[in-house]
Amino acid sequence: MQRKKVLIVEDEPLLSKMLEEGLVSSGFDVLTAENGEEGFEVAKEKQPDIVLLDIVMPKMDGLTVMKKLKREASTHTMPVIILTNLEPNDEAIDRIAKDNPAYYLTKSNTEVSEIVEKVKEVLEV
Amino acid sequence: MTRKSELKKSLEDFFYSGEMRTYETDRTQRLALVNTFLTVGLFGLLYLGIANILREGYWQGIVEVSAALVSMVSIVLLRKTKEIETIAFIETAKIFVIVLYLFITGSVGNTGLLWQPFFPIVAFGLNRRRNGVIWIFTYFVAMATMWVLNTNLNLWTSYSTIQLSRTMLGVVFMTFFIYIYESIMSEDLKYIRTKNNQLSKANKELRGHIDKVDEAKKELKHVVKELKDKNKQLEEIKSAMLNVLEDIEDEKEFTAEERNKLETIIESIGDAVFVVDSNRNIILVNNITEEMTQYSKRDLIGKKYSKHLRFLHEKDDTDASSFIEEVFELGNVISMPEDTVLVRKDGTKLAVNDSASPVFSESGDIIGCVVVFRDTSQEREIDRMKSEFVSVASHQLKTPLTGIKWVVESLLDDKSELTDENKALVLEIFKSNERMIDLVNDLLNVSRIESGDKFILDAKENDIISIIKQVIKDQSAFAAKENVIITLDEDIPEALVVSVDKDKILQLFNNLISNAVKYAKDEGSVKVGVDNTHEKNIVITVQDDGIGIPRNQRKRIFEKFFRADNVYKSESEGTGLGLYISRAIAEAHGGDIWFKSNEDKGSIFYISLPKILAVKKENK
Repeated sequence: MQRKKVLIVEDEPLLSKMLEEGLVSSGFDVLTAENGEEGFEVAKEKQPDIVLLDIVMPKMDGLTVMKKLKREASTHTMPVIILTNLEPNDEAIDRIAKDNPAYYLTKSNTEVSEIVEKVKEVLEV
Repeated sequence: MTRKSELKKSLEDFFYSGEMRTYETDRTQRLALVNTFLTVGLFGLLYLGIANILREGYWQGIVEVSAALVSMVSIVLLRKTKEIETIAFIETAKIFVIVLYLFITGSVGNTGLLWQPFFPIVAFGLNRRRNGVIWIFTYFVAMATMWVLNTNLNLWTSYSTIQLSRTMLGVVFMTFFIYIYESIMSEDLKYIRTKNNQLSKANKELRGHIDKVDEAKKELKHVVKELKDKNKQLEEIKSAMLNVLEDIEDEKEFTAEERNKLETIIESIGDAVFVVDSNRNIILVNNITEEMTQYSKRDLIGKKYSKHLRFLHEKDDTDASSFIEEVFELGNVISMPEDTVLVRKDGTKLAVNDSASPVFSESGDIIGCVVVFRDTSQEREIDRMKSEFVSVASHQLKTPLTGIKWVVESLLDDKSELTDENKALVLEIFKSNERMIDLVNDLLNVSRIESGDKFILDAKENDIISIIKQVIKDQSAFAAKENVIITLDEDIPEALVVSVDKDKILQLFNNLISNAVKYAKDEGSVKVGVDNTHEKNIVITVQDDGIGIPRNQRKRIFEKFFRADNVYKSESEGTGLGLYISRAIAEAHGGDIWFKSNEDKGSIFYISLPKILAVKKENK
């Protein structure tokens, strides 16, 4: 079975690293991007199976990325898990909810293993 | 009256028969005449009688004197009774007696007697002219007869022809004279009579007039008195009215002063003030209202407030002016919604806040509403900045905290090569870190509560039973660790749909149940129940059999960061903000949290939530 590709779009290097470690040790291939712009390009180019998307990022924030992914034909159906530390009742989240991410997770409340579980769940692995 | 004038008057009266009553002129005149001639006759008789007595002896004169006496009686009677008829009878009788005497005695020497009948006859003749003529004629005939008899029969010699002729002549002459006199007199008398009549008529009229005038005078007096009284009344009324006018002027002045005072006060209030009457028309506007709304007083006064002044919710532009109507409905002070904006004349929106109060009349009716508001743009901006800062700050804090969390997670991993000892230490790092994350989250919540964000609820219909079940499930791992069993009451409904903000309610229940688990005794239990017996709200109970809350600290249990003394006895984590936040969530829904507790026996926490979420109103 081909290893699933996960794209991590996260600007904090430490957090990106920990996520990568967790995913790799669970048998996933991992792609990373440091900001939204880069993330979108990599998503288009490399076509990952799922995207873990931070919201607060320089250059392009997660919401914009999500919109673009939805509009882009090649990434239109790509599942997205939002990983953020924003409060669920912030306005931004309302907007996100409309674009139907697969999941919305608060980083500070979720362990890496839980995130990995979710990825598995979404990809039905 | 002196004796002389008395005498004079008496004599006058004697001759002229007293007062001449003008309305009895005829009679009086006749009485006067009769009186006069009788009197003359009387004196004549008296004189002759006395003369005869003196000259020829008593018996000669006595007849005359007697006749005179009878005349005197007549006159007196006449004066007394004023009745000619009575006298007439007497005199007639007297004459008859005299004639009889003359015939019997044939004594005619006393010429007085011959003359005697003359006077009364004339008198009475004048009284009734026709009768008088007969009288005189009869006398004349009698005399003539006697002369004839004397001449031819020589019966009486004492009557000489000369005497008889003289008598007849005298009679004729006297008759003539008296007739003339009477005519003249009567002309005069007639004239006088007429004049008298006229006078008496005039007098009568005059009297009548005088009476009328008297009456008119009386009337006039009466009227004048009435007029005077009326005038007095009018004067009084006038002065009373002047007093009232003065009072009114004073009142007006006072009212104007008060009004000025009020207007000055209202103008000097630093906030915008406008007043609305019970018809919702604006009746008063201050300068600051003009400034803020950009409408002039003229634009606003007299029109319904809704015409120009639009209060909206900032977020969705829906109408936010219901607070004014609520004042009229409830008679309470009602605050504007926190997010009220006012649409100015140029269309821009101004953040405003404050409240509206009712105006009561003396009888307690609501007659108007005073609305006060101020520009809260700065406040709102500051709030926004604060919120933003807290959001950003908490977000920023969470990033390194997440980092630590995940790194620690990795260290505690199965694959980790740390010794158990080290793992234990790292676990402590993990726990502390978790606490910090909780704290940051709670601080964010508290900041929102304190800044008046008041939890803008995303209320939807949710099944509270499934929410509770989810929380129990989420807490089960923790409960297992604490050796506590969480149970859900058996007799709770299958499902119970209420209008709540799901996330927040989850937070609330998580809080309470984790508290209960925390403070339950080892191998203890936490029981969760749902009471749906009330009409308007449901009550969820969370019961633990733990350490309870000391009596003297129960009041403070919902304070921020407060922890009861007895808590330190057992292991405890937590931020100290859980109950504070939970209560804020309950209250934001229109519900409440309270508890009952027994030290070392346990506590029961009650959460009440309204079945239908009503928008909360603030009553100051």
